[in-house]
Amino acid sequence: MARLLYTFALEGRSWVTRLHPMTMATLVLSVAIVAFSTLHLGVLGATLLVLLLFMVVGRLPTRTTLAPMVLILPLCFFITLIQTLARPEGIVASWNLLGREITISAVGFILGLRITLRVVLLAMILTIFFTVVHPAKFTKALCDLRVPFKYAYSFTLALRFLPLMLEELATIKNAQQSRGYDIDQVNPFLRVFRIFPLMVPLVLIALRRASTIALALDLRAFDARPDRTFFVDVNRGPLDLGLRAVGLSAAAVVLIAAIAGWL
Amino acid sequence: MAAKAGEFTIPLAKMSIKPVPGRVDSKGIVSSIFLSLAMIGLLQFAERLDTFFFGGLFPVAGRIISITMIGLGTMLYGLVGGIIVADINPLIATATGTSPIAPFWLLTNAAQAVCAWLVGARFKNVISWPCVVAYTVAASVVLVAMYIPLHVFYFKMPWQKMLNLYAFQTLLSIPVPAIFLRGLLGVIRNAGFVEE
Repeated sequence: MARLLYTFALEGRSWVTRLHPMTMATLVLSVAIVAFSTLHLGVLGATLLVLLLFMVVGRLPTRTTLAPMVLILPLCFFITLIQTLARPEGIVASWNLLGREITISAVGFILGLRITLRVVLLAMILTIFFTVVHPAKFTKALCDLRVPFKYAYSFTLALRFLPLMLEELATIKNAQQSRGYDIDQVNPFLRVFRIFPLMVPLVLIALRRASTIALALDLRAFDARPDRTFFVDVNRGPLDLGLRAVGLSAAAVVLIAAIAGWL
Repeated sequence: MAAKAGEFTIPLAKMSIKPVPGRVDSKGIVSSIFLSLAMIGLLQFAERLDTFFFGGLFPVAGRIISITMIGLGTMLYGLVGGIIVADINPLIATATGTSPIAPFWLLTNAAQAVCAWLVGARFKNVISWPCVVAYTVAASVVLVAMYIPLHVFYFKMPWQKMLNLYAFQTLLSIPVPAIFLRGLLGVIRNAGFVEE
């Protein structure tokens, strides 16, 4: 499991961590609109440069923010491979393999790379979002949007207890290993079928622990009062409004250009 | 309405209430969150395999785990609990950068919870083979139907040439989660997590 990105937001050392969570959500939406509107290399490349610039200006931790990009490499490899082998246009080489014609398409290869750029853009903006948004502020912003607190809080609660559950899973895995069952030694093709001995104790432990925590929350009057207070506050400043306007305007321009066929 | 003896209706964690919204008290919400965390833990194994075989483009192992756990969450806590189990995982996966298509799972996982609710609400006894098989069939079909637009619009894939892979996914995602889910529901009933 990768390091949780939001630890940077908790430290609050950058001005971008003080932005309103919904400003960041608007930027995510804007980049998503741009990425889905077109596969034009210039537009996607420019958006990528803007995001990199945002990271530099916001002094975001480069290694943490760009580390998830490594995880998308296998996906991008498969996309490009499938496009290269499956596209019927721009064939540059072909040969016969066991009675089946295998073709290499230059058009497919270029298309695969463009889609890779699209995937990178979406992955990068989401990574930036979770790097700079403080979970408690996110909960507060959701409550401001009239999402009931107990649902808005569930994401924060999940982040808080994730390390605990991963620790429980490691304990169960060790216990099963000591009984001679080691899932890491199982044939990879069969591994998922052999996961049941881990699944049962993990689910039972999760439910048992949840009962205890729910009881503790109830004893502390969790969600008992509708007018609850927060230890963090979120405010919209001029910078928030400016970033939202710029993001949405840019997305609208690209969308209109794509619909009009200019891109 | 009280359940009759031998009948196990959604939500199993409190059968006297309706499946929508289901059990939404503190215990229901927190238990759903913990089930989703258990799912995230188990998906660590599955996602590694899926990335190794298809780069995560055609999840097979991940689908087996998600159908099992989301079905379990919905059958135990109702639709809202099921959606919590379903949608915490994509958020955490995005927050930890484990998959670039994680935001899409918000829709696909929620669709599985809806399938579990729709199928489960039609059975008097959800801890039964017909119910779990009907759910896994419904969830597998809906997932394939949802992945085709993703592959076509997002990845520009020639979906007609992917039919064999979709068939392979479906072939595994019907029987295996059905066996896992039926086993888990039995264990949970015997462990005393089912309430009137």
